Amino acid sequence: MNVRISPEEISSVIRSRLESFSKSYELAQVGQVLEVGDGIARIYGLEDAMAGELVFFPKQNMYGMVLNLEEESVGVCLFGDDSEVKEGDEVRCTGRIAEVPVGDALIGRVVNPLGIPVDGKGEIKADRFRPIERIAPGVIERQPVKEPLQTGIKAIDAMIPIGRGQRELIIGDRQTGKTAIALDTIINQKGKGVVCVYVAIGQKNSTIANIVKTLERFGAMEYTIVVAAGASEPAPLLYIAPYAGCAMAEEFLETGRHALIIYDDLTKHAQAYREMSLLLRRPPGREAYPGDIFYAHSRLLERACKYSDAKGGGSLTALPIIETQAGDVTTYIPTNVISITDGQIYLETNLFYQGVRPAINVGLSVSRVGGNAQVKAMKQVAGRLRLDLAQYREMEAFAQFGTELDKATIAQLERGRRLVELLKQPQYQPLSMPEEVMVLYVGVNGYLDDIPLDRVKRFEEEWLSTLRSEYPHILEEIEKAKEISPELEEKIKKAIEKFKERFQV
Amino acid sequence: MDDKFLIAEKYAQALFSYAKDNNLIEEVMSDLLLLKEASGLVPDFLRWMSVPIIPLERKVEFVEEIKRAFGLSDAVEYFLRILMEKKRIRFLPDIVERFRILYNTFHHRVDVRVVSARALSESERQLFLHIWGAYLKRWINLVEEVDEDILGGIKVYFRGYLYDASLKKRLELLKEELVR
Repeated sequence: MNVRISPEEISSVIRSRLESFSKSYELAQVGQVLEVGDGIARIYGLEDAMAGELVFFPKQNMYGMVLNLEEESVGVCLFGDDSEVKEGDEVRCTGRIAEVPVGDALIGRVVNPLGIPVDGKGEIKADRFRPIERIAPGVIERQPVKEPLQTGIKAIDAMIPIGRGQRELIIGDRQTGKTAIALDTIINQKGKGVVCVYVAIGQKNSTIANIVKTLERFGAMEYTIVVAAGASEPAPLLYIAPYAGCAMAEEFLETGRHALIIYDDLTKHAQAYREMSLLLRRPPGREAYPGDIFYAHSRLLERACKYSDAKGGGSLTALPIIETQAGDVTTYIPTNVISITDGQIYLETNLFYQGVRPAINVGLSVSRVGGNAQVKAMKQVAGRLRLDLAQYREMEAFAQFGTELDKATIAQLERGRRLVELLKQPQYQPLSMPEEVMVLYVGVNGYLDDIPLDRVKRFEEEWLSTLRSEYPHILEEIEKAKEISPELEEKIKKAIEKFKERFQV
Repeated sequence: MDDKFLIAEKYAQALFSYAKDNNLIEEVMSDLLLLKEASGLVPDFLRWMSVPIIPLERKVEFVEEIKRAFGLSDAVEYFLRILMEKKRIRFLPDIVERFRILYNTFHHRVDVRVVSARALSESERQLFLHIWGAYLKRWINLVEEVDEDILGGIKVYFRGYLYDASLKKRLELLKEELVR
């Protein structure tokens, strides 16, 4: 298409804009910097300043956010280098609260918490902005979680299912694979119409670069926004990062689409907020965190929701991550976030080093609402899986005493060991829902009982490739019907028996 | 840092109400301005008065000398003594500033700072005083400043507000409008 725009056309547009331009002056309240340090400034004046309002430092061309309103001054956190701000500098009220650009233009980009691109791919031409803070949708606007959000991880989709609009906490010590679960979930959203937002809070910049590279490698950046607030950023930027990411994700929620947001991690967010609060001289509470740390997290996570059909039916699923110290979940921040979320995926160092990866402790992990969203086919296999594993764990503790066991108990232990083996899954290899169902089906129906433990992995791999090449119709049927009908079950049984005959132990 | 303003406000209010009741407002104001100027010219002036190692008697003697030299009123002398006793003498410049605001309010005056790209002519000044006096319903203490960076127009600072009608600001607003 060859469309030419004449210069007159542009001129006339600009002219009309100029004619409608009526602002000839600006009236703003001004104050002076009293003291500055550690990313916090105290401003004298600004009597009309509102909590959360953006203030502008004209000399430094920098913004700050009002956090403390006191009798004679206001406390402001700075979104930039505080060394440039001097005592007596002018500060202006803007009448706006902090907002970030939102919309499709951000997809595939890496931005900082102010929405400024940091990936060197040029300017973001966003046509819309949203305030970073907003009141979460109310009761009337919501509906119960009903659609599944497939993570592609067998253990999670079967036993700790996540629904669209749910808030599921990923909790565990360092190096237990928390981020890996989040990344696998993002990678698995390919082609499912879910826009992902990954908020990196206080992580090393090299780690963030690695994550972006991984997402690019799997083609996941095509539907992902990365909000990067690295460890080198000042605490105020780390503090606003999750709210900014949430505002970006809410744009998709509001337009009836589905979004997934990952806060990696809220422990560092709480630490950044603690740092700011102490510098603002707010009274310290438990573990020196400020009194409103619970509210800081609850108002953020409450923004995840499944909209009613009248509101477009969009959803925002949140996966906050919390890092524990030596497996202790009873400290302040983990207990807070556990109580806010609709369940948690608990990862353990011991399991990780035993080779159980993802290192999910199935006993302590729960999903309070995701069960409603699970597809029927998955429910058909997962119900027995959960029971078998629970019995296995009980027996396992018992069997360690070296007592002589009866036949039934030995069978249960053997089944359990195979199921644990079956639930292991390498990183970056998410499975589709029908594949997960078919793999778990062989486990819970005892087809693995006569396979040696060290061959289970190979059995699974070969079974999957056989399914994909010889029985694609079974996978398609599960995908379509979302359940295993008696007729289909017959077909599946025949396929498994045929495969087992060929399988060489 | 916050306390500075609260302390200054309290002392200034006390002094002002005393001066008002005894018809000493003008006298006290001129004395205070003199002291502020002196403390600005000799930075060690206030520092010396607030050093704890120097006995209070020496400081009182010093204040009496100042009183003689500058011809200060009794009210201001007593006020300085109180400040020293309470160890608040270092807040004197802030107290004077707060007192000046109270003084201005009492006389229906307001400080206005106007920034222009070039010096205002006499007619412009009169026009400004007329319009802004009517707008603020106060007599205006005008402070003028020239800043070529604003290109044209004026910027007016008054009572914690900035009225920015400079050419530079107008161009910025126009740029924002066009970019949008």
